[in-house]
Amino acid sequence: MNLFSATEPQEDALTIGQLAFQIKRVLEADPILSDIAVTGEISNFKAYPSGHLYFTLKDDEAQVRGIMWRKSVANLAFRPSNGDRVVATGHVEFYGARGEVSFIVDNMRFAGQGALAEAFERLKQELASEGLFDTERKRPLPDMPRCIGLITSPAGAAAHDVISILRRRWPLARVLFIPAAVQGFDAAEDLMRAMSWAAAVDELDVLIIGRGGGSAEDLWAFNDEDLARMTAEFPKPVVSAVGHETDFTIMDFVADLRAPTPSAAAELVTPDVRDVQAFVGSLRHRLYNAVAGDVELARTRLDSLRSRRVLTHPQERLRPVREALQSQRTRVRDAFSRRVKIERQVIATRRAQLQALDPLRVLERGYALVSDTTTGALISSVQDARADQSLKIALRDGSLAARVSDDSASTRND
Amino acid sequence: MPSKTQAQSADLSFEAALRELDEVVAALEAGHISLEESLRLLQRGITLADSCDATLAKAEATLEQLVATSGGELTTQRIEWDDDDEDAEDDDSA
Repeated sequence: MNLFSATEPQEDALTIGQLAFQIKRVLEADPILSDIAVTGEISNFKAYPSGHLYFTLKDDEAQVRGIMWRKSVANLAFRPSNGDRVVATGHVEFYGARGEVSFIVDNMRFAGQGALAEAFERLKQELASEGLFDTERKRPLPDMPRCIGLITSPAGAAAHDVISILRRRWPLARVLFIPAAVQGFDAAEDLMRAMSWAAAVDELDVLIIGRGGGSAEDLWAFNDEDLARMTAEFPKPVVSAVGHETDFTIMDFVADLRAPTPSAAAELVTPDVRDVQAFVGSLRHRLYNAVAGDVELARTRLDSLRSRRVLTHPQERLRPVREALQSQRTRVRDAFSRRVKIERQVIATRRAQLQALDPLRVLERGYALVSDTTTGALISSVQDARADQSLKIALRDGSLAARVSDDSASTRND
Repeated sequence: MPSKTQAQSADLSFEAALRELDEVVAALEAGHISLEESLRLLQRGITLADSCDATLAKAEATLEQLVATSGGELTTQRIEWDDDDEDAEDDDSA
């Protein structure tokens, strides 16, 4: 009898390692557990620097540890977060060293539109309550951007569409393309990297960020909370251009302007060069018109001047002239009268001189003046006289009547 | 705006020239200026409009890509336009 037999290992007992191995063998041989899709809600989500993801998948009844290895993370179209209801595909493994059963996830997608909407609403409510979507935050776009940033995938059609439209519409544009991953687990992070680059470009006037259409998971990076916050803080106006017209992302709400598609974004940020040319033309037209108006105005002003009192009643305008004329006239008259006075003196002098020659003055000295009584003609020669002629002899103090006798005539013989 | 308006216009950005042209037109349309001033503004306006038209006529958009150097510095690289650039209206893939 072995006293200690009860405590000795029995031959049929397994080691823990053997047990774990057995569990693992059974679990992993199960055809169902080796390839299944599981619906659950994510919690305790943790992305490790190694690139592996650890989380819990749960529902109301149970929970299972979920692991997504780095190589599988590349399959993810989006970055899952706590509260997301997902469909995870993968297989079950038993990890003996920790005694844990894990669901090794190859890929995840949202568990239907409802789950997507839930996750979307959750974040949307949170950011809205912080005021990130407020209209007052929206900045106006520049009318004529010189430098336009574009963040999108280099692989997609969106880049090509946006770039060719920008080029066609606005030749003054300098388009700065910043390629980034737009879908997948790292997309949000890469978009933020691109955005931080864009923020460093001082000349940038406006930023377009977006991608072409895709599944809800494909667009999920644009629902990233950190990216949304970064967009709100971006130094220049941001135009979101994600997917199709019917797709809405958090980015659309936080951006300064949401464009329904990438092509539409290109048209929203640029004027059409033809419109601008037409505008310059219209300004030129108005310029000429305005000056023509001014010339017209000047003419009208001239007309109104013409009809003014000065011109319609020129006497008023002429009064000073008339007064000047008057004084001129007075001066002329004064000058004239002075002149007249002088002339008078001259005349008086002349008259005195003439008086000296006056024949009557000669009579004073005893001479006589003989004239025919009837004709008054002066008789200065005997030849002028005839017999019986009546003569008037003017003397100093009067005159005598005389008659020429027949033989009284005698000629002086000198 | 004294003399050398020509030289100034050449240096003006398109938008600044357009804005000034707009202001010149507005000033002329508002009136209250002398005929002499009107004619001076007309000259200025014509210079600006000519400059705008010339800028638009000779402009060509450029495309650059922002890249990081090995030292972590950001720099731009000129990319040539893809000249068979017909508008593909398919924005469906990313």
